[in-house]
Amino acid sequence: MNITENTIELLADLCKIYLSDEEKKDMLTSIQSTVECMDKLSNVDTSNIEPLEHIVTFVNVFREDKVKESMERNIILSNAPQHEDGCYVVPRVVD
Amino acid sequence: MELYELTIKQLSDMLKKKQISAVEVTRSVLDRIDKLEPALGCYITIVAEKALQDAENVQKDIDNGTLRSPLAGIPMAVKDNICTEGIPTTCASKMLSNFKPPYNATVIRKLYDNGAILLGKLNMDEFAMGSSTETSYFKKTRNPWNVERVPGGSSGGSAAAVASGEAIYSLASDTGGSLRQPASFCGVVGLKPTYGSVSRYGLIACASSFDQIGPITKDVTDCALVLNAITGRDEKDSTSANIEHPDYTKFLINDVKGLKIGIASEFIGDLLDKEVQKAFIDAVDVLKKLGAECEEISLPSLKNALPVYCILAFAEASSNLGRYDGVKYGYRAKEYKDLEDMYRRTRSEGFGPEVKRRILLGTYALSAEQYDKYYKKALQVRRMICDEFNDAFKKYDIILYPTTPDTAFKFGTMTKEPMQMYKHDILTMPANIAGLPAITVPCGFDSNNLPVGLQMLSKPFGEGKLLQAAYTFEQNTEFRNSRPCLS
Repeated sequence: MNITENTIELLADLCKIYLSDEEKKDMLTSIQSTVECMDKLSNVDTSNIEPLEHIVTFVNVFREDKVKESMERNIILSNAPQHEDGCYVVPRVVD
Repeated sequence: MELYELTIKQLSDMLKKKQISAVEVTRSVLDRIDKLEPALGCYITIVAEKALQDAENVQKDIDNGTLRSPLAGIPMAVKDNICTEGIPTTCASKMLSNFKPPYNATVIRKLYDNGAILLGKLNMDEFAMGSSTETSYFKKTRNPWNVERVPGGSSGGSAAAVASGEAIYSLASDTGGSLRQPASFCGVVGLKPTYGSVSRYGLIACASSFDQIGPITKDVTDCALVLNAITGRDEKDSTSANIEHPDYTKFLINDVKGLKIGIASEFIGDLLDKEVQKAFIDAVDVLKKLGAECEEISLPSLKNALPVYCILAFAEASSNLGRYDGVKYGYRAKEYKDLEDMYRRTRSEGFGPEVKRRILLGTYALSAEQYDKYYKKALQVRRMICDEFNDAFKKYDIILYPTTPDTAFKFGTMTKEPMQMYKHDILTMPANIAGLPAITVPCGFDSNNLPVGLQMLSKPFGEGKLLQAAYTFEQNTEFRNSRPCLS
């Protein structure tokens, strides 16, 4: 698939990012050249090769399912851009 | 010699003999920071008062015998993507410019338990995406060997601080070479441990199956000392290995006789700058003369490392960075129409161009239409690369090649063409793809007096062998004694 300005716009939309016209132009060139590099894998014969999902081969380590104290709410909220009454504040979601 | 010039081992011995105090060492490094920081720009945040207070407290514990760790009282600094409770942790991004973590990363807790003195947080490429520290939202970091050159990246601040004496040692993270490449560019030692050796709890994720925290130090001995402190199983990181780690200082043995070293033929020759090639060949000769058995081997799958890395690391990053939405923490756009617009404006204003590029590329590779062609294919080739390494390590103890294709480049030379920047990490990516431990040690200088790094890889959890080989090389060459001339 060719990377066009439409592709860039579609991707930006999926990523929830606005791009200026200049950014789109820059992205188009650099993304095209990176995708060209990624395309090189098409020439690799991977028949009968299982995808490697995890590079670590350890088995699961289980622990007891115990209730522990968690971090205090006000400490967590202290990093929020906006909070009120112990909750995050966001723009209205439901009309 | 000034205290800031010394190693952990030297300072620790002096502290034990009560020849110096932790406060004196900390002051010496803080004075060095005051002097050089305007020219080098290693730090995003400096916590001088806290450092001096901690040094005073640690000295009491050293004096009363409750703290015996070789790291006790030694001032250090960490890359700004490692969470430090109450101290800004920005990832060098506008997105996290006001973020103060409510907890310490496991590595920070471990270092504090060992009596380490935190000086501050080090500059990096934004969200660890870059190879020159030029994508930092805050500042440029300059290479102490030549301030017209980049320090490498993404951990440019971590490497430049150690090379210049602005920290005795540092912690950095390595996703595709982010620790080793700057260590090489700045003429210091850097070790990326085996994936799972060091807990990633509190490391702000870039590409989770590639990321690993490791030390940057002035020599291999210090590297073993820091590794002893930071490795180990952590129930807060389910990918941390449930194994018994040895005392890594036991591997500081000056002997490589009979050590089997494979030199990856794919990574020597035309790919390398001529002077890097020469320094590498000389380094191989040193190891041969010391009794190592070196021979060329072929690892043909390594030529696919770059596309595999671009697909998988960017895919993981795009997914990891989905969390930055202006709700729970981090930057939020000032003006917006509704929730959706807030998300979009926050992400558009909060992320820099390289981060946006990788989010777009990763999303492309993961999109339903392209998934099999890119993501699944890259996972298959990742297995081929791992299998090839596993086969090689049946015969060889160490695989050797340079850390970088050339030495530190000038500012702005690669920012226009991101693909050139990605290609620059071609020699460091394979260790992350296969989760292997890898170390870089200085092995020479080019005609511009810029350091060259020698890279050694070993099988998973083979850090001991790496340290032994690197230590032997270091003890039989003079490069560890070279430091940049900084007035």
